[in-house]
Amino acid sequence: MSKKSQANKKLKKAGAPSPTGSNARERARQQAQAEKRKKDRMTLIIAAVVVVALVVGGGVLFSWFQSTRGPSAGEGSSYQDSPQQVVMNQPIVFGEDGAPNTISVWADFHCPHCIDFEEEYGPLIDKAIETGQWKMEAWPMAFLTAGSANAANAFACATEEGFGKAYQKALFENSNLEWNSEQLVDLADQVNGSVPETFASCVQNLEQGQWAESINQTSRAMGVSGTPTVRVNGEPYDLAGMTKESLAETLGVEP
Amino acid sequence: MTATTATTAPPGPTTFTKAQPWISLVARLALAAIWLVSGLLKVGSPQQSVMAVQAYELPLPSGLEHLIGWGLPWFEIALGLLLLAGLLTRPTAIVSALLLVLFIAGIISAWARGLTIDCGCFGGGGQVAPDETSYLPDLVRDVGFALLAGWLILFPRSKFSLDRFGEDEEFVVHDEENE
Repeated sequence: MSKKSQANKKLKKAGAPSPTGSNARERARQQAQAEKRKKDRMTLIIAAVVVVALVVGGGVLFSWFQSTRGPSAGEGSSYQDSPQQVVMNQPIVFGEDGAPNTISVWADFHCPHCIDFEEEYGPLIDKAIETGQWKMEAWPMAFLTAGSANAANAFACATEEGFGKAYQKALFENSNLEWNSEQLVDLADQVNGSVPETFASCVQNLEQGQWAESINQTSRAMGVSGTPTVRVNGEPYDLAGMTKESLAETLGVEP
Repeated sequence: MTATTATTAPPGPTTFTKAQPWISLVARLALAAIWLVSGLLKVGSPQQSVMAVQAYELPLPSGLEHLIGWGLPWFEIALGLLLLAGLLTRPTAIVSALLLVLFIAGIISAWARGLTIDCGCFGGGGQVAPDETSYLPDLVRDVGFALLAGWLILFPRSKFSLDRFGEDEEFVVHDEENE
């Protein structure tokens, strides 16, 4: 208001002298214009707030839908495992028993960098396992969300059924999901083509929950404080400067 | 003589008044790019985004953490679009500055509590190894962004902006004076 009246004063001073009648009309016109501008601005602000609210609200709805929808099959894993029992405090091991080298990976199914790691380097590790020279230890740490723990439990259930590796890969590929029991059972259907009765009850009753907790505790005891963490033959492996090429060289496979 | 000085003097076409709308244009577009990139990198991964929020371990209910994780990237995109168009530049700059101050406070708080997390500023987020944190560079960067927003709060008038009508009444009046 004060700005406007100042501006009007300025205008009055600056304007060329003119008959009082037209000057008053001019002032009235200026005032009306200023009023209109003020109204326009208010309309603009309200419109912008409404549009922003709609964008954010729509985004939240979209994200909610993305998190709660069903999983998709994904690319699948080239490595096919066979049923194995999980053992308390012990990681899940993929690969031949006699493989001379071991790569150990600590990852949470909801940790952003673990998801990137799996996408970038997972296929290389699959290849290395297939050479018979490498075993992979999977330590599914679960500390981020309830979904992380559900997923770790389901991963163990899938491993006992014999489709653990493909299931693990698919968990990472669908990491946008919150991981409730329904989604985890659905994922088995996508990966395995059918859902074994024992798998569904294993997921619904969190039958491997204690195992998942033991993995958390053992990992911490081993000095693993964050995910992803990688060790090669027991030695810490630096992820900071890692590329596909450098990991391929370590594993002795084509990048 | 006096009449001419009266009409041309008020703003005075100094170097600064000439350069300011261009500087503000650069600041506006830079801040727009920052919000758009940061939002677009995150909208595709809502679950990761929630994870990044949860990593701060703030005393927030889980529902609110989800709302922030899901909504914030879209809010950033909206701010970016407003700045790109130059629509309501000053209010958008004020909101941008407030948001950046919140981010800065969040990072300082995570650092002070000894958390080892990625700030999740441009996607990513979550726990990282202690030697992989980058709190100081993140803070310096965010303070730089806040300075851009601060400039726009002080000098919202910029070239190629839709704010020509309505936003800056003083300047509109000056234009009429020059006619």
